Amino acid sequence: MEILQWIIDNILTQASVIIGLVALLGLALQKKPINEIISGTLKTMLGFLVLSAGSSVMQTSLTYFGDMFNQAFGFNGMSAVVASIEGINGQAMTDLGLGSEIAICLAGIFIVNIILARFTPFKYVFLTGQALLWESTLCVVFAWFCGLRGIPLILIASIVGGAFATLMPAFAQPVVRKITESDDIALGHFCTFGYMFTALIATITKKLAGGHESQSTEELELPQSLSFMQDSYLAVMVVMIPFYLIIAGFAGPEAAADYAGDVNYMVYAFLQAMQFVVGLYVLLAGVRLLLAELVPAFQGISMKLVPNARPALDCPVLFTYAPNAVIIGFICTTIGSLIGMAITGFMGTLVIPGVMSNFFAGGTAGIFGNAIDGRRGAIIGGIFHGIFIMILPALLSPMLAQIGFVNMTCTDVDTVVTGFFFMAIHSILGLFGIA
Amino acid sequence: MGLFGFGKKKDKAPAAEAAAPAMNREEVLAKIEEAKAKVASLEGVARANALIELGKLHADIDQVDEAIAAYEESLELNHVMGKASSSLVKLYNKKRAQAAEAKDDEKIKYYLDKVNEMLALSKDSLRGRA
Repeated sequence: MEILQWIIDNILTQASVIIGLVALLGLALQKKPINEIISGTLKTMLGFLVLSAGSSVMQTSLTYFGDMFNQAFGFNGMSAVVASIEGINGQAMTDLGLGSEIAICLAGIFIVNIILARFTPFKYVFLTGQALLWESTLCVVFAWFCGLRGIPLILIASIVGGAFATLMPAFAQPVVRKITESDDIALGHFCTFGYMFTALIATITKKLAGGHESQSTEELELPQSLSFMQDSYLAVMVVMIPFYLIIAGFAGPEAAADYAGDVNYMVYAFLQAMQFVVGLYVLLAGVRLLLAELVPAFQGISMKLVPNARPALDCPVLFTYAPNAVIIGFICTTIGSLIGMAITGFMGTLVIPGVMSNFFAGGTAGIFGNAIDGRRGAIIGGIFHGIFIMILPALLSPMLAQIGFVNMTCTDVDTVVTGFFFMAIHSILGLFGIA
Repeated sequence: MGLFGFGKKKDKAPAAEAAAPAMNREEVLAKIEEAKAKVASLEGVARANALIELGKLHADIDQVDEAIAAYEESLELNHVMGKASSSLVKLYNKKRAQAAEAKDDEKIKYYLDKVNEMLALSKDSLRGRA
């Protein structure tokens, strides 16, 4: 009995162990040979520990950034947050101590998704691992924030996440059908509200133009020189370095003295901006390791249990249909997110754009805009998309700060909507005195 | 109403389906032979493009394996995303669904991996790395 209690207290409380056990279960269910089960389990655990290391590097840089911002502009109570769903996941899994819950909920979301796809008319199986990890994070964080713990937390978070995984591809499918000219595949990327918002704007621009669709983006010749921005890490650096430098400049050398020591305060700011990217890089390497064994296991199982389901795939599946729209959507979303940032400044929390997701989310938004109203839809829709994906996370950030996230907010908007969904249910139940 | 709707459907659908594809299939098969000859006479990117046409013809008459072979060869010759890769995603998914019906785990995994390869190709070619 004592040994069992010791195991529960000392081993099963470790998130890396729980995550390893989830992977072990997935691999065992696939009847993999024992050596593959062992190596897969160990790699998954390693992934989690790499993720934690990346998260802590990122957070050190962000703590410095937040402090400088407060010293420079904090006099009127304004704060700054960086939009990064990767960072949110890292902090939730490590500092908030929700790693085990998030890993179990990830498996729970798969199960609920399979059940819904099998027994309801929504035949969509969500196959994008990273996106599911982000969704699982937000479901667990907000269920936890609403006061749920233990098994009820896992159950509710899995049901809500599973419903999102099934319904979001269905929500986007009318436009996806138009893009792919078939009903075979679906889109599995939790930025759907942003994409459909882009499609809505494009519908409006088309109406305003008297119902005439503008020419497709694919008839344009685009310069090749834009391609350097398509490297996500480079794009993050290009954005973070100026922000860090400007804020350090305003805060002055005294503010940074405690951090920088003998190093010049501007040089220190530059190095801290690079540290942010280092953290992001390591964190995502961890996420890839963590998911490398889990996702194929679940993909195989779900496609077997629901043979007639449409696979909801990651957004590059649409890139082939309109590569120019991807570039235009990315540029316009970036412009829009800078406008959006300026707007968030007046909302009390300045949101620094998380350009990491701009390429994929912005590019896909461009395809949606183009599908409805050609290049006009891609450009105007893309700019509005950029604003939209900044305002929504800004609205959520006070709650995230209250939960304990340090200078950080979400990017992928469906996860933001998940947060709002939990808060709405919580307040409705509160009205009746239930929660 | 019901009877009317039913009768109407029966009148139209089978007649159209039975007659048209039978005619078409012959035509398409003839076109396939033409396309094969064209593929044999070409090289490089031109051959890759001819293979895409051949793949489409095979896909039109549901010769999925032949269509996949043509598109795959086209991709080998010209490794960029485009008609070949987007068609392959759909065809691989079709094969995956058949494998799932047959409960063939190996094949399910094989075709899911193939779909993932196409996604990676999309990412890489937009970033100029293909």
